[in-house]
Amino acid sequence: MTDSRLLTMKRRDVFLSVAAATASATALSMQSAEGKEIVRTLAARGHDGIYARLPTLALESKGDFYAGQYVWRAAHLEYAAEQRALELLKAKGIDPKSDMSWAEAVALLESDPLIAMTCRTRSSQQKLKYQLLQKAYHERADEFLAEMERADKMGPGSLELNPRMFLPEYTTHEIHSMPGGYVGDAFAGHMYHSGTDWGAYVDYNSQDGAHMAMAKAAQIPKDGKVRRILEIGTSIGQLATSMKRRFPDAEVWGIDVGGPMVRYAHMKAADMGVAVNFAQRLAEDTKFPANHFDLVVSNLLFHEVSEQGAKNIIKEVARILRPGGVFSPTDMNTPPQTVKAKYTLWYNYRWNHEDWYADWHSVDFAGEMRASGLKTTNSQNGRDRFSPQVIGLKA
Amino acid sequence: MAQSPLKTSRETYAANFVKADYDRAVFTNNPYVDSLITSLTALSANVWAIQRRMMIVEVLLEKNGAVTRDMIEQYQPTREEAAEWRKQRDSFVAEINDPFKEIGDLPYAASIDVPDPSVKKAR
Repeated sequence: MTDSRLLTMKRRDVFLSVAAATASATALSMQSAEGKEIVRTLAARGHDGIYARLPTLALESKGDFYAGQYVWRAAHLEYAAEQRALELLKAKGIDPKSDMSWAEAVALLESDPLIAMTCRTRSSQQKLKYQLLQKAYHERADEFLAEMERADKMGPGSLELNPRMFLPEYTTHEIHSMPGGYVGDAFAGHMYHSGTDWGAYVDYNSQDGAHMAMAKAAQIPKDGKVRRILEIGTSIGQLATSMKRRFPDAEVWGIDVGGPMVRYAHMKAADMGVAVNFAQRLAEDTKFPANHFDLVVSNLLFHEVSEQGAKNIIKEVARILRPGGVFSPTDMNTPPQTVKAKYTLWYNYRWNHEDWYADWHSVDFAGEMRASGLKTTNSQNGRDRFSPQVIGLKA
Repeated sequence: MAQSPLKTSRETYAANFVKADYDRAVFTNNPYVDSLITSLTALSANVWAIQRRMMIVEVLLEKNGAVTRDMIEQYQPTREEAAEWRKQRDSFVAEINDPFKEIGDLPYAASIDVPDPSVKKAR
C-alpha cells in the first residue's frame, strides 16, 4: 500500500465518522460509498470535523496563536483603547457619540499610542498570517494545484470557471490585505478559509458554524416553496453549502468573481458530499434567467463592493428572484455610533484595505432595494452579527 | 496591476490585481517600533508552535512510550486536551501582549523630585 493511499484512508475514516455516513465498510477503499473517487488527497493530517486540517502541524499551530491573539486584541486591547478614547474625549469636552466625520475622529485619536497599537497589532497579524499561508501553499504549489485539478472534475455538484471573463476593477483589490485579493492568487480560497478561521470568524468558521446559523435563520418565501437558491459572492461556499444542508432537495448555486475562490468552494463542498453548483460569475451579471430563484442570499458581500456595484447587484437580484422570492443579504450593517468606532472603521477601510467600506456606508441599501422593485422588511432575527437587517421581497 | 508571484505551468485561474499598500503603514512614532512588533508577533507564533509540538510529544510519550515525526504531525488532540491547550494558549498570548495595553503615561524626566547635590555645593 502506498503512503498516499494510507493517508487517503485516514482522511476518509475521519470524514465518514463526522458525516455519519453509513458506508463504513468502504472506509478502506479510495472510493466513496457512492462509488466515486474521493475528492481531496492532500489533507494528509485528516479532518477536524468537516475541516481539512492544514498541511503541517507548524502551520496549524502558528494559526492557533494568531487566532488567540485575535481574540485577545478584540477583548482586551480594544477595550483598553475604548477607555483611553473616552478619557481623551472627556478631557477635550467632546461627547463620545458626537456626530463627526471619520477624518475628524482620526485626527482626535491617531496620536495616542495605545489606540494606534490596536491598528499595529491587527496589521502585523494580517501581514504575517497571509504571508505564512501563501508561502506554505506556493512552496507545494504543484501538489495543491494538482489536487484542485482533480477536484474540478468531481462531484457531487458542479464547477464552472470563466478565466477570461471581464472583472470590474473594484473586484480586483487586495481586500482585507489578503495577497492577490479574491482573484489574484491560485490559493485565494485556501488563504481565505484559514485567514478567516484565525480572524474574523474565529471559533465559528471551521465547522461552518456561523454559516449554518445564517442558513437556519434565513427567511423563506411565504408560500414555503424553496426549489432554487443562489448565494452571490459565495467566496468559499460556506453559506451555499449550509443552505443545501438545510434544503437538501433544492438546487443550490454559489457564484463568485474569483476563480480560485469557487474552485476551493467546489472542492470543499464535494469533500463534504454536499451537491452545490459553483460558478465564476459576477453578482451583477449572473447569467440566470429572470424570475428563477426562490431565495437569494449573501454574506459579507456588500461591504466589499463599490457603490455602483452594489446598486447593479441589487437590480440583478430583483430580476432573477421569482415573484414571492426573498433576498436575504447579511453584512455588517450597523453604522458606527461613537467617535472611536469611526476611527476603527477608518482603520479597516484605509489600512486593512476594506476599500469599499465608505461606499457601503453611503449606500441607502433598503432604498436601492425598493428602487429595484423589491419590498423591504426588517429581519425577524434582530441585529445579531449573522442576520440580515433588511430583507427584500419580490411582489 | 500586479501579478501573483507564483510561477507554474499549471492553470491557476488567478487574474491581475490592484496591489494594496498595507506594508507601508507606520502606526507608532518610529517605523522600527512597528517592525519590532511585527517581529515579536512572528516570534511568538513560532514559540507557540514549538510549545504545542512539545505538548503533543509529551502526550504521545505518555501514551505510547515512543514517538515518530509522523505521529506528531498527525496527532489530533482530544476534546479535553484541546480545551486545556486553548487555556494555555490564551495565557501565553496574554503574557506576551498584555504589556501593550498597560503602557505608562509619565515622561520619565518630567517629574524629577530629587535634591541635586551639585546645585547645593555651588550655593
